This record gives sequence, structure tokens and C-alpha cells, in this order.
Amino acid sequence: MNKITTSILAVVLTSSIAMVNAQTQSDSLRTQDIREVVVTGALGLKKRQDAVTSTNQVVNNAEITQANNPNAVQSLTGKVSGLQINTTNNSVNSSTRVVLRGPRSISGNNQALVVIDGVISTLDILQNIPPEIIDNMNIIKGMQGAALYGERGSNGVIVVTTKRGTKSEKLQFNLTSSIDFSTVFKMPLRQKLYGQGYPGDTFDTTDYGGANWTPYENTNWGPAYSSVLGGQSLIVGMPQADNSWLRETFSYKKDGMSNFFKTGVLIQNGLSVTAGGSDSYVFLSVNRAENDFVVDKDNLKRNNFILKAGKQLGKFRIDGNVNYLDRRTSTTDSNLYGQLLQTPTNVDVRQFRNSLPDASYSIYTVNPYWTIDNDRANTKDRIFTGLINMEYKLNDHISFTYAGTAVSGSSIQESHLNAFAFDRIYDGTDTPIDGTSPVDYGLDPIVSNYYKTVSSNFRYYGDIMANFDYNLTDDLNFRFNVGHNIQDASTSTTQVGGQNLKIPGWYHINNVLQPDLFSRLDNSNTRQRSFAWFANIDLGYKDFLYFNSTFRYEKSSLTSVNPVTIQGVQLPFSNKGYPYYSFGASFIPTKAFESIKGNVLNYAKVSLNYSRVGNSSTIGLYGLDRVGAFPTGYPFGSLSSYLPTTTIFAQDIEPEFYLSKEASLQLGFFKDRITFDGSIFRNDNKNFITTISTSSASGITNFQDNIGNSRNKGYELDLGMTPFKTKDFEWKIRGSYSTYDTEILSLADGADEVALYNSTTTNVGIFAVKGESFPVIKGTRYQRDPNGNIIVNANGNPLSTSNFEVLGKVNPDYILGFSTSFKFKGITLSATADYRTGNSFVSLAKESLGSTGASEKTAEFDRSKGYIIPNSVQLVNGQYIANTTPVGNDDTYFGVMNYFTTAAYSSIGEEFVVDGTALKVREIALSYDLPKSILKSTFVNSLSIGVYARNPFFIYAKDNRNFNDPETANTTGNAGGIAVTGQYPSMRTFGFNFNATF
Amino acid sequence: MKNNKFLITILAAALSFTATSCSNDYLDVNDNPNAVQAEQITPELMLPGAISQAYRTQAGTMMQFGNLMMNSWAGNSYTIAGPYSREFSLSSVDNTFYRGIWEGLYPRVANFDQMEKFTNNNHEQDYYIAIAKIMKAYYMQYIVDLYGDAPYNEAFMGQQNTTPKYDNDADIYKILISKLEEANALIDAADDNALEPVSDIVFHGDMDKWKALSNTIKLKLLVRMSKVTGDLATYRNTKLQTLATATFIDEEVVVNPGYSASSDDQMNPYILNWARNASGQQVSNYSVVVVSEHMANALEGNVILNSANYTKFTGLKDPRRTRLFTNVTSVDSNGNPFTGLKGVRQGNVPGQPGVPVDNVNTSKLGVGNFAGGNTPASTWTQIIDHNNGRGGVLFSKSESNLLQAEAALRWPAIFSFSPATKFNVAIIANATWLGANTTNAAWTTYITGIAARPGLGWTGTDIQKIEAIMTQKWIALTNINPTEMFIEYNRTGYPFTPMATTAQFPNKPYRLMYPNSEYAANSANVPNISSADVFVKNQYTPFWNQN
Repeated sequence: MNKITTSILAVVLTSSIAMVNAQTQSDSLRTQDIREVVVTGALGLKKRQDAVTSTNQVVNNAEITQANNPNAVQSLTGKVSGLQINTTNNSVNSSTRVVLRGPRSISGNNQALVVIDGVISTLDILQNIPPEIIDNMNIIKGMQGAALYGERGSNGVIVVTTKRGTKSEKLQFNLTSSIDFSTVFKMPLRQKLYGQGYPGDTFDTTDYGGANWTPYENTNWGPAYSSVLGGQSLIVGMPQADNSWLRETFSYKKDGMSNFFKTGVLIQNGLSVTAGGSDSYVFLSVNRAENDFVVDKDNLKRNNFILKAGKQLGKFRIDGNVNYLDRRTSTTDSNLYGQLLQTPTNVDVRQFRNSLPDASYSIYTVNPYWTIDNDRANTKDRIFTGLINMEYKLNDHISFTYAGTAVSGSSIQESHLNAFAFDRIYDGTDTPIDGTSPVDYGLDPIVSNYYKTVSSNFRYYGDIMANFDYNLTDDLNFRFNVGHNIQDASTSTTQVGGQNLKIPGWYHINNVLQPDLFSRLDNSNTRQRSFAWFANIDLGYKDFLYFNSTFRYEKSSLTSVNPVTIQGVQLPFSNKGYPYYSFGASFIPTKAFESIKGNVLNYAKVSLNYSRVGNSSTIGLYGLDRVGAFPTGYPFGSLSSYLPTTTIFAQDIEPEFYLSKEASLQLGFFKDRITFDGSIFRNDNKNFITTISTSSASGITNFQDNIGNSRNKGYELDLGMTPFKTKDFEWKIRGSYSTYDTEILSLADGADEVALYNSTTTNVGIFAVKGESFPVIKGTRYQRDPNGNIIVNANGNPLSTSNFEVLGKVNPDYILGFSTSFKFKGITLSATADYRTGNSFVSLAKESLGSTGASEKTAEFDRSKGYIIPNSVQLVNGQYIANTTPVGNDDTYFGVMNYFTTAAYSSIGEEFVVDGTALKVREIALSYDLPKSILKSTFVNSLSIGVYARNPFFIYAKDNRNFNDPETANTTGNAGGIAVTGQYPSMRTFGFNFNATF
Repeated sequence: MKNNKFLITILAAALSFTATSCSNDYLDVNDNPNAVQAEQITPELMLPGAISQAYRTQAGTMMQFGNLMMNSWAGNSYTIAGPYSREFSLSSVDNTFYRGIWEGLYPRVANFDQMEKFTNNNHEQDYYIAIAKIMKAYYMQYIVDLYGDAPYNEAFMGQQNTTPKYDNDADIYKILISKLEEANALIDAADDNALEPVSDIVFHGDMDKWKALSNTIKLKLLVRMSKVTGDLATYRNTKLQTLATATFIDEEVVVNPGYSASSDDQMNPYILNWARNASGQQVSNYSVVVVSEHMANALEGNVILNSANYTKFTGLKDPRRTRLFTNVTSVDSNGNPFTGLKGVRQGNVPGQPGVPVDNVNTSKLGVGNFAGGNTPASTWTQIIDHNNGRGGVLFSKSESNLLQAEAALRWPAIFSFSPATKFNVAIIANATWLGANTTNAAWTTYITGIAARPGLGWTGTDIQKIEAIMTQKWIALTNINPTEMFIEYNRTGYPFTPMATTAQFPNKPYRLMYPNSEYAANSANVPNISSADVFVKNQYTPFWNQN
């Protein structure tokens, strides 16, 4: 059978029936028929959607800007199947992780490549481009579509095309303006029964049900609100500077913690001007965003200027683009949230907004209000991007193109922390604290510091290409591109700073009494280069059969080795190049066989592809070079010392190779009123690179090499429907289901797992484990009997497994995406939501709330009678019997407190693994376009106003008591899945916008 | 055609750039310009860093571990919730418990191994290699004493072997002893080409002292084997014989690369960890660490507890007490206040015995630990300067002398010197280091007092003399090298050391669990032991303590 199919295919390819050239070009996406759309793919090569042989999805401007998200990347969330965007850290300049179809690399970069106007760019630049100037984003999910980018394209590509001139020669202005308001929501739920205090505390020795009351505790191990203290007005915190005390009723304060956050305000204004026609145009955009964050004084100011112009001069065409981004952010240390989490339940933190750290609500925490004022980092970034596209058409068949970009960036960061000595001696309060000083409570004095980091970077990217376009026969179109690519990136960073500012409030290196040694600071230069030869072939038979193949041969400086033996003998330089290639084909039966096409099925397309690409990003810059580092404190005067670094790369390391296969099917029914897109893929990662932590006894602690194989596979289903479509009313729904799984097939000999991250707070970490999904959360687990009950020891304390076990996976089993829009005359209502399940995350906020007696779990029983682990059992004479022993074999309040505040509670990793299931409504937007008839007599061409909400509703899994947003992670790297206490909660945003052209 | 020219110019420029970019020169930019190349690191450059970095572990993790295990320190539970609860309850002596000892020492032992294997043309590196062998033996012994079997023969090979096999602990001991003998041979050879070890931050190139230290470490290894039997006992006795006329170290062996208060990193890690930072501000450990009730009572002559367990101390106040810990208003067993040490009972919280709520005073670490007898020491700036100036104690004179005293007591046929003399020298050495007055009446009272007290001074049976050595060693190593004392306590069972009130086991652990890094990265080789295994004597207990 195989042979016959092949021969038929060969016949088809060589037959010559007269047909129009299928690959007609059009620049605009606003073609009426969605199937005729021309999309921009890798290296700026444009193709009709039919000719695209791997899966992609185009998101246009209207969808990106519907809810005015200032971050174009975040606005894709929930809209593209297979694209997972996690906002890992909420801040004034939030960070995101963008992964297409799940991770392939364990240690290397898994984030999608960003290409803006034909040249490689960065996620950071994309996140700072005003979304309204983006014409469309083509998300290339299939690896084959990105194979032309070689190593850089191994994780899929987001091809961004910014707006160009309109067809009309008229000068056109476009004004956009929006303002929105954010508030934190989903603050952790806390128990409502017990307040500040501690059993055995000496401040007030009165016994209240086994506990003592202390006004300055950071814990809620104090009296119950139902005790005689409940409802009384009591002193709280430490005495203020004038030795007076603040007072608070001893009762649960619902908003005691969330009152810390204010309403954030984001204002965006943009004006763009376009002029010109098809052979010459100018486009200017000026955009300003001001973001005032929910944490007081944290703000961002961003100005973006873009000037684009193009001109056709006979056979020569030139397009240029200059972008200047100026961004200033001012932030405090987000670790203040960890301090805020220790607000006792009877305290309204706002009372302490003017209190010094020695007069805060607790003597064991640093007042977060003080942190806001005294711990600040200000960053000023300037990024200048110049981009040029040139084309010279020799004749109808041959052209030469050049696409190049040079990006020059600079960043100045200054941070300071003011000192606080904690040397006050409390006096005259007539309480036991008289004569004590904050340092007696174990507080480290806060030593002032100042750091300044200046860095500059330069990046060049250039493609030079020769393009050939021939009709070999009337039916067979042949396009061939061959080219060469150069990339060169360099950075330089200088840092100064140190501790102890002589004159408070003067932030300058000249005021630093104890400057840090240069060896401790970041003073570095880096350089990375690569070059590649590449070729692309497109064959089109009539308008229904397409074939594409790409080839790239690439060499990168990352794999350059310039070895010198330890004896100082120079060995030959080596650098190996690697070939990457791909094949793909698409077939449109509804065009090949007119008979199939009918009223029911109006469109069908199948495509298949295969690619082999590599990823060298996993090899660290200079990783192959063996170097030494200063031990702590060196050099001491003229005595210097170096020790060899303990992280080592194998000298013969190779890029990891992804062998990718993909098949997809697209169907359109009832004139595309119902569309279906399905694709299935498998990526085999051969010889992935990872760092294995080694036995310390080997003398090195980490070793990086090609050590294993993994497989990433999955599928995506997209269903689009337009149930109603009349002149005035249209309702569209789009739903998607995407799933993927990355499995570790093999690891290095002798290793079953690789730790990516180990928590220092509890026994849990993020691992790659042989035979398991990647990445997984591993940690110690409660020992359980066959019925799943927790086994406790004779003292009533739970037993934990001594080894780490798999506790959950970081990535969801599947993601459901849903979006809809209603249009009625000028009114549009749109919404986007997604649902993720099957994933887990580690919440260190849960640990903090537990040990401070604030979590609900700590108050689900009467503390004065001790805590018997619910449903626990003891092993007695080989039998599991119901346990009646309270923790620590102590049936008092003290026993409960002792359990939750010590390793007995905090060391069992399983306790802090939380179900990450979440249903999130990401965007709801309502807009109204004023009818043209009203605007007719004015100079305004179009006017729309709208209201919108981002993140209006989240529903978490039952066991996630709002500990954290499941997307929160302390890294945008691969070791996600751990939310630390220094990460702010989620925010919901409501706003309105205004848009006019004239 | 104007455009064409323009294009050709650009194409030509682009192509020439392309042409140059295809050469290897273009890609030869992968030598890290930000760090020293590994091949440029000579033993001279490696030595000071390896020594001072290893000492950081000794002055940090090991200081806390030993002092808590020996019930010398307690946590200030008056102001801190549940301090050191893990060490007191011993409920989770698991693979994260003090893993910093293993993970801190092993990479440094590897550095000494790298020096040992460095190309040695014409005996240039002889002295560096000798020092490396001695330091390697010193720290490797702690690995064996705290963990038993450990990687050695396959260890330190870097990427050539990231999963080294475990070796028998007794075999490692023998290798360490041979390393010390090799070091002495290299020093004795005194090759003319041997470079002066100019970067020696311990003895500043005095190789005779290194040899004496080498002998002392060898004696320590052999004395540790006091209980072994059979072939190992024969081996021990043979090796002891080689030390019969050896010179042992008789001074405080200190590490000092040039500590100063110019930044935290350049501070002596000892004072930085436990008292003050480079700005002279109190660090949090200083308020957490207080003397334990046990130690306070022993040093205060049993006036606090008036317990039968402390009879040998009764009425005899140790003059070193206020150098080790600060004087506060304490309360004796009759409720009468006195000025002296006031501790906290390990494991208890205010309101419980040993932590009365009507006397919240606690004795913190004393100035003597940091400044010794140096004056003036009235401000912390001065104390910091003294501590930086005198460096960190790698091996104390007192320990050396007590070790010799025990050797001479156990094997009088081999060692002809007087154990009693060594015993007395050790006590004076310790008092001197702490800055106690050794010429006044209080001192005389103490010295003459202990001489009549079995278990505390040099009198009574041999067993009582061992107890006396261990009791004095406990005091002498407190705040100096207490982990050594903890190991000695496990070997001898002396001195009397109460468990914390919250202890969930009847005794201290006989060893530590291998750290979780071994279970994660070397799972095929690491012995699979449980937390319960460390509290009983079994095949996992270090070989010298299995009986």
C-alpha cells in the first residue's frame, strides 16, 4: 500500500493541469474569507494559510486589545490552544512564562521565541510594546514552522507583525486611552477564633484556656476570641515612639491584612499617526502607560515611540522601524508580603502605617509600611531598536532581501535600604518589656545599603537571503530561499555598592562606608555569537497540495572550546556545527476534489510534518570554560585565592535535539459557521541536557551533560461556532481543549531523578524523575495506613517518609479555553476564560500561616485540649488502631502550638502541596462603536468606548484556601511550581477605555 | 541604476561580514572574561581559600551542632518561640539535619585533594602538598566520625566520577594516617626546589609546626580508636608506637587570612556568626544563644540546681565561666539572687522548670570567646578588632594537651611524658585563650580544688581520670570546637550530659544521616539508613564506636 500511495503522490506532483498560481500574496489579514489569509511565518516569509504545513493560530488586534491589558503577552492567555501563559509574579511589571505545548527541555529555555517584524526579539520587548500597534500575532505551535530558526526556534515562535500604513493617502490619527483600577483579591483565608499570644509567654502570665496573651506576638497562639479577653479593647503591638500604645478590640479583623493594599491605577494613552499608500508610508506611534501598583509607591512609567516608514523605489523596497522604549519602575522589596502574612488575626495592619519597626504590630516582623518607605529599587531602562527590511527584485523570479536589527539597551538600577538599629530601649510602659530592646527579641539590626548597577547590551541579528520563485509547470510552483544569518550579542555590567551609609538619605557610592568587594558584585562582560546557513523550499501544486522543507546549519560560540590542560598546554580549538531540518506537507481535499465540497463541509485541510531541531540555550554562556572563583572575602589585602568552581559542563556537550512529528486537520462546516481544528504532536528530546547535582564527595556539586531522553506529546482541539450571524447581530464561541505531557524516559546511569529546586523551608522540591511527567513536585509524605489514614508515633506526631516521593505534577492535565463575543450593531461583548486542572503547587504561604496559627486548619479543634491528627492511626502490635494521642503527647494548648511551630508540622512536604485547579475568567469587555451616521458631520472617523474587566472571577480548588494563585512561581524558568511568601496575591482589574480615529 | 549601486554596496558589505563570520575566529569568544581560568589556579592560590572556607563550616554549623548536642547552649525561649526545637526533640534527625557539615566540608577536602595531585615538577610543590595532606586528614576525619562509611577512594574525581562508591570507615582512617605520614616525609625531605608556602594562613610557612600538627592529628585518629579490638587494635598500637617521641602541637592553631571589619565577608566568621557584624551591630544568633542551665550549673559549682548529678562541681566556681558567658543576676537553688550565669533548660519554655518567669535574665556569649585577654575590650568595635586579629581556632592547644594526656594515661608504655602535666597545661591554655586570670586567688582555688575531685581533676582511678579529661575537654572545647567534644562524648560517655526535656530518644545520635544530596545524586551507593538507625549502635555507627 505504501508504494502505491507514494507513486500516486509522485504523479500528482508532476502532472500539469492549468491552474492559477496559488501563492498570490496579500499583505492584509482583513480579507473577507478567513481561508485566504496570508500569514507571516519564520524569517518573514509570507504564505497563504493553506500553504502552511504546521499548526499555527493568528490572533488579531481586536482580540489582543479587547480588555486593554497593557501586556500583549498576557492578553493571549486563554485565547490560543496549546499556549500556556503563567503570570508567575504579580508586580508593577509582572513576569510571565510563555510555553507552547509544554516543556521539552529540562534545564534549558522552554519559552517561545518572539519575532517582531521579521527579526528575533525578546519577550520583554514584546511585553512593553503598546498592544494597540500590533497588527497581529501568529503563534506557530508546530515545531516545523519554526525550524528555520534553528536552535532559537526549538520552542515555537510568536511572530508579531506591527501595524503599517493604510492604503489611503490621507493622514489618519488614532487615539486610544484607558484607565483601570486594580485591587488584590483572593487573600489567604484565615481562622477567626484565636488571637495574638503564645502559651508560656511572660508578658501577661494570666492563663486563658492554656495560652497567654501577648500584644506583640506575630502568631495567633493566644487566647480564643471567646475567652474573657474577646471583644475587649487591648493594647496592641509595641509601644509607639512616645511610649503610648495603640489599641484594638480583641476580635477577628476580616480585612486586617488586605487593608495594606490600595487600589492600583493604570492609565494608558496612545496616539498614532499614519500616512501614505502602498508604495510609501509613515507611521508614528507615541504611547504612555502609568501604572500605580496596589502596593503604595510601586509604580511604572513607560514611554514608547515607534516610527515606521517604507518606500518602494522601482525594484527596490526599504522598510525601516525605529523603536525607543523608556521605562522607569520603582519597587519595594516584595518580601514584605511574607511579613504581612504574619499579621495576627486581631490586628488591622493599617493602624501601624506610621509606626517604626520597633513599634510595629509585632516585634518579630519588620513593619511592611516601613519597608515601603525604606527599601526601594528604581530601575530605568532605555531600549533603542532599529530594524531594517530591504528587498531588491531582480526580476519576477529572483529577489534579494535583507532583514536586520540592532538593539541597544541600557539599564540603570539603583537600590537602597535604610538602616534601622533596633536599639531603642522600651521604658515607662509599666509592662514587662520595660528595659528590653528589640534586639533582645532576636531581631537583626537592619544595615543600610546602596547598590547601583549599570548595564548595557547590544544585539545584532541579520538575515541575508536570495529568493527564487518559479512556476516549473503551469501547476507547480517552486519557491526557494537560501540565506545566511549572523547573531552577535554582548552585554556589559558594572555594579558598585555596599553597606552602611554614613549620611542617612544620601544614596550614592561616595556615602557607602563599607563598599562591597568587586568580586561580590556583578561586574561582567559577556559575548555570544552564532552564524548559520539556511534554505527553504516551498512547492505548491495547484492550490491544494503544498510541500515545505527547511534546512539550517548552525554554529554557536556556546559550544566553542578552547581547552588548556591543567598543566597549561593549549589544545586545539574546537567548535562543531549542527544541521537542523524539517519537512511538511499540506493537502486541501475540498479544493482538490470539488465534489467533496458542499454546503455541509466547505473546507478541509490536512497537514503532516517532521522536524529535527536543536536547542543549545541549555549550555550556559561560558559554561564550557573551566574557571575559578573567589572564596568568601578574598582578596584579603594582597592575599588572593581562587577555588575551582564546582559546577562543571561536559566538554563534549552537544545541543539537545528535538525530533518532532505533527499532524493536523482543519475542517469548516456550513460556510465556516462551525470550524474544527485538531492537531496531534510528539516531540522526542534526544540527549537532553541537564544539571545533575552530584555527590559533594566528588568535589563538584553540579555537573551538566547530555544525559537522558524525554518525550513530549499531546493534542489540541479547537472548535469555533457562530450560532447567529445577521447583519446586526453576531455571536461567536470558540472553545479549545489542549493537553500535553512531558515524560522523562531515561536519565544518566545511576540517577533516577534530577533536582531542579529544593526548598529550604520544608522537605519539598521540583524534580525531573525517570518515568514521570516533567516536572514533578517531590517531597516527604505522611506515612499512611492502607486506608490512607495518617500514621502517628507513640507521641501522636505524624510519621513522615524518609525519602522524597512524588507529590504532584506542576503542569496541568489539560487546559480548557473558552472565548465568546456578541456583536449587536455597534455593541460588542466578549469574554475569555480558561480552566486548568491536574496540576499542583507548593505554597509556602500555607506553611507561614500554619506556623503562626493563622491558617484555618489550626483552629478546627479546641486548642486547649491538644490536637489529635484527624483520622490518624497508631501501629500497635502490628495493627493500625485509631489514634487518641494528641500531638507531642501533650493535651494542652502548648502541645498544639509546639506541633505547628516546629519541624513536626513544617518538615512534611506533602502538607504544603496544594491542588492547582483553577477556573479563571480572564477578560470580559463591553465596547460600543458609535454609528458612522452620528460621526458623519464631524472630523472623527470612528469612536468607540468600552468597559472591561481583567481577572474578574477565579475559582480555585477546594483545598486552595487562597494560599496562592496556582500560576505563582518563584521563577519563570523550568522549576516552577513553588510559590514563595514574597509573592503578591492576584489582582482583579476594572476599567474603561476610549478609542477614536480621525 | 542608482539603487543598484546602493544595493551592491550593502550586499558586498553583508557578504564580507558573512565571510568573516564563518571562520572559527568569529566564534572563539567563549573564554569567560569574568573569572580566572582554572589552569591558572596554583596550590599557592588554592590553599588559603580552601582552609578559610573549611573553617567557615567549623565556625558556623559545627559550632552550633556541637554546643547544642553537648547541652552547653540553649535557645533563649524567653523571647524566641521554640528555638532549636529540632535539636532538642531530636524528632527529625533526618537527611536534612545538619547536612551543611557534609556539604560544607567535602568540597574543601576535594580542594586539598586537588592540591595534593597538582603537577609537582622538581618537588616545587612539596610543602603545599604536605599541607594539603594534613588538612585533608583533619577534615576528612570529621566526615568519618560523624557519618561512618563515606566516599574516599572514588571521591574528589570531579566529573570523572559524580557517583563515588562508599569506603569502609576504618579503611579511610588508615589512609588518612598514611597521608599524615607522607606529609611528614615530604617536610623531612626539605627539597631545595620546594617553594616556600607563602600563602599559608595558619603557620605562615613554618613547616616544623605543620609536622607537629600532623603528629597531633595522627594521635587524635589513633586515640579515637581506643575501643577497637583485634587487627585494628594491633594496627593502632603499631602506629601509636611511631609517635612515641614525636613532637605535638603546643600552641593555638589559628586560621587568619587577614580578617578585618571592612565587610561582613572579611570578618572572622566566628564573631560574625555569633555576635556582631562588620558594622558592630548585634546579629540575631547573639540573642538566641544562651548558656544552658546544665552548663551554667556546672560552671557555677552546682549552686543553681544543687543536684546530685553535679556533686563533683559543688562549691567550686570555674574562673572561666564569665569569659565564656556573660554575668547576669541569677538565682540559686534556694531562690537567692547572685551575680553569675543564668541559663535556660534545654527544651523548656517560660513557666516550665529551668525557665522561671520571675527571672528572665540569660547569660549570652561572653567577651572572652572573642577577645580573649586582649584589652581594651569595652566596646564591640574593640572586641571585633581583637577577634579579627587573633583569627579562628582550627585546633586548640588545650585539645592537643588533653589528647596527649589521654594517650599517656591509656598507653603509658608508649608515651613517657606525664599525663598530669599535659592535663594541667590544657586547662591553663584554655583559660589563657579565654582571657581568664590564671594568677589570682580564684584560679588557685579552682586548680587546687579540682585536684581533689575525681572526674574533674587529676585524681582517682584511670576511669575517673578519663572522666576528668572529658569534663575539662567539654569546658575547653565549648565555643571553640564543640563538635569534636560531641564525638568524644559518644566515644567515652563522659561527661554527664542531660538530654533536653523534649528529647524523644534516650540518647544522643551516634552519627548523622547522610544528607539528602547523597540520596538524590548518589542513590546507588549511599547506604540506606533510617532516622531510627542513628540512635542505636549498629553497623552504621562509626567503626570505633560499635562496641
